Amino acid sequence: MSDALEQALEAHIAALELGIARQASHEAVERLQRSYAYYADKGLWSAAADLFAEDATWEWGQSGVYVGSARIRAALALRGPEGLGRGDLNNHYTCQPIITVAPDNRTAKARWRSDMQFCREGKASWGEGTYENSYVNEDGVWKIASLHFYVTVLWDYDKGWVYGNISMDPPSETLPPDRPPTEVYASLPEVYLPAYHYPNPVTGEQPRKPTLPELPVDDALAAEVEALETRLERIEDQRACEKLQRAYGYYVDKAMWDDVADLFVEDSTLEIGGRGVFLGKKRVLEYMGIGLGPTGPQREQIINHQQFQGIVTVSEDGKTARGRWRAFVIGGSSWAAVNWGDCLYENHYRKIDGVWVMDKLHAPFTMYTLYTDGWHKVTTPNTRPESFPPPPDLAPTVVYLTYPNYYCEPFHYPNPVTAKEAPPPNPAAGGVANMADFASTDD
Amino acid sequence: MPPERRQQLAERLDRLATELQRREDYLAIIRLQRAYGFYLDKGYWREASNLFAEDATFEQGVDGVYAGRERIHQLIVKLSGGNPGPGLPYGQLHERFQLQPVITIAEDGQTAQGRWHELAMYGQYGESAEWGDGVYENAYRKEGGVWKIAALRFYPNFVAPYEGGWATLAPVEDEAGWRSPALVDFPPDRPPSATYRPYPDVHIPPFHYVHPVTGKEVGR
Repeated sequence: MSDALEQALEAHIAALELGIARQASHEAVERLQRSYAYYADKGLWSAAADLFAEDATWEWGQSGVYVGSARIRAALALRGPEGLGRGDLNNHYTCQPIITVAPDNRTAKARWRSDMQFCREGKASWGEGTYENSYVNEDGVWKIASLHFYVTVLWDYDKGWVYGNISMDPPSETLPPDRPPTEVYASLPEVYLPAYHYPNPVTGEQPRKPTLPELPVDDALAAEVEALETRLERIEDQRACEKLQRAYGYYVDKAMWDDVADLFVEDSTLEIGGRGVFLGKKRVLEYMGIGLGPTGPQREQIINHQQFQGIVTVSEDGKTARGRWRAFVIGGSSWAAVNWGDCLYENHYRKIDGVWVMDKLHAPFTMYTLYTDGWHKVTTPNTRPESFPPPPDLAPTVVYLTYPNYYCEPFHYPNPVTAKEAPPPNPAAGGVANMADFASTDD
Repeated sequence: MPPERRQQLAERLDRLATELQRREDYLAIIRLQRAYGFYLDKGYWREASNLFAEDATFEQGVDGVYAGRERIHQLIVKLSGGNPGPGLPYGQLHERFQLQPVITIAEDGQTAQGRWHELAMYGQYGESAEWGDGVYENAYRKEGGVWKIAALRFYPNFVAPYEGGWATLAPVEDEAGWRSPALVDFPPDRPPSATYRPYPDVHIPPFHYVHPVTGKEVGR
């Protein structure tokens, strides 16, 4: 009996050690890739190259492949000398990670995206694209093993995407790469789907959990183990919900409607803008396919739905969760409006047989504007059930106006410091009356 | 099970509890800063200032250091258009994306630092629209089990008009002289800890953390 207890405790503690170490690795990979972006922002090429493993590879757009940190440093420096000159801008907002740490905690893969703001020789441009990178844990230090950035779009600031597309540079002639591009493709107006390193988070194969021996109910150490296991599981739950939401965004980007619908179940709901409520997976698929166009990325079209700044709150029992997010939308095509969109989500997630699924997707719009004009000149009103087909199953749960008007979707979480719920907005919010003349409960 | 073996397992569990706490702290700090952004978006100034410790400091650009939660509250209101909230008046856009966190928690788990990249959309309908870019290097402190912002240091890099964007910006002539106009009648408690010239000059906000691989200081 004593031996059985010891073995059971040993097995559980070893699993906890690995589980917690993998979470620490998740953080390390975040630090690594975000640091790469902070260094690239300022032309700190040496610091950026030092993030790579000895035999790592680096590939940006159609640059071809550079092998080893010395060659990567040289390739980065093609952009310009170490540090940037006055007027040069090289911003890389690097976001929306889906990080998969291997079960043995020795390697990892991640999908990310960067929004890039450039300025060179007085000419401003933007870009956006996807990373599919790999990482290696060398004696406890995580390094980038391969970086592959797929350019989705580059555009002239003054003209916008679709009308001001800039094509990717071919491989450098002054510093030819060690290998040609691994995949040949072109950015907008062409489209390309960089392969996802992970299966669909709901319908795909699930990570296997080891079966552990049962723990006795009356042992103090066993109780401690179980308490830690629950806490670790809540962290894993949060990470799973983040992955679900980010995967949703990456699928919408490329009009992968079947994969989008697969994140929902039969009694899930979807409500976007003012279009009303769609019930169940099948109607989600109709909303996307009938309302937004054919499946798969379409030439001369971009529908980036970038998922940023998630606050995920998992319930104490680990069965449900909520999430507040923003979507930063780069949308449009040669046959329809080209617009910036800024949206919010207050979503519900649910765990079914160990798998987190979308329970209620609720996405109020904040602001949509035409690229050519900007939000100070033109804003697109909120959508309505009749804005485009198909009609909803249920009327909108809330009717509100978008910018320049004001609407605040209630926060699902109390203030992280005071633990109090935020009050409703001041009655004068959205109007021109002086808010100070109206009672406010914000103190 | 022999007592010494039990003791051994108990010690491993203690270490694990500490490690797990650090993972929870990491997520709590990220939540704190993201919550700050979501409150600012919607004009919830009091909710935002309540995220600060009582004796916290706030420093933006070359505006100088403002100390104490109540001063910070007044500062946030002034910097954001002056309305008391909660909420924004007709036509104001104030989207402050909090992106790309690098969080470093101290050995004792009681303090932390974080670098963030902010992308902002400012606007007044019918008048102006701007893109904002900047980096935070903030300090956080745990008080009674709750993480709070202990020091907010924001390094704005640009606020660029929608038309023409950042390519239209002229260099700042006086490194100490580009204070926020909204704060002219609201002097700081202390002078700026450092001055710099924003874009189109190149300024590297100091990194609170060493290089993740080499362990060396970067950008100094």
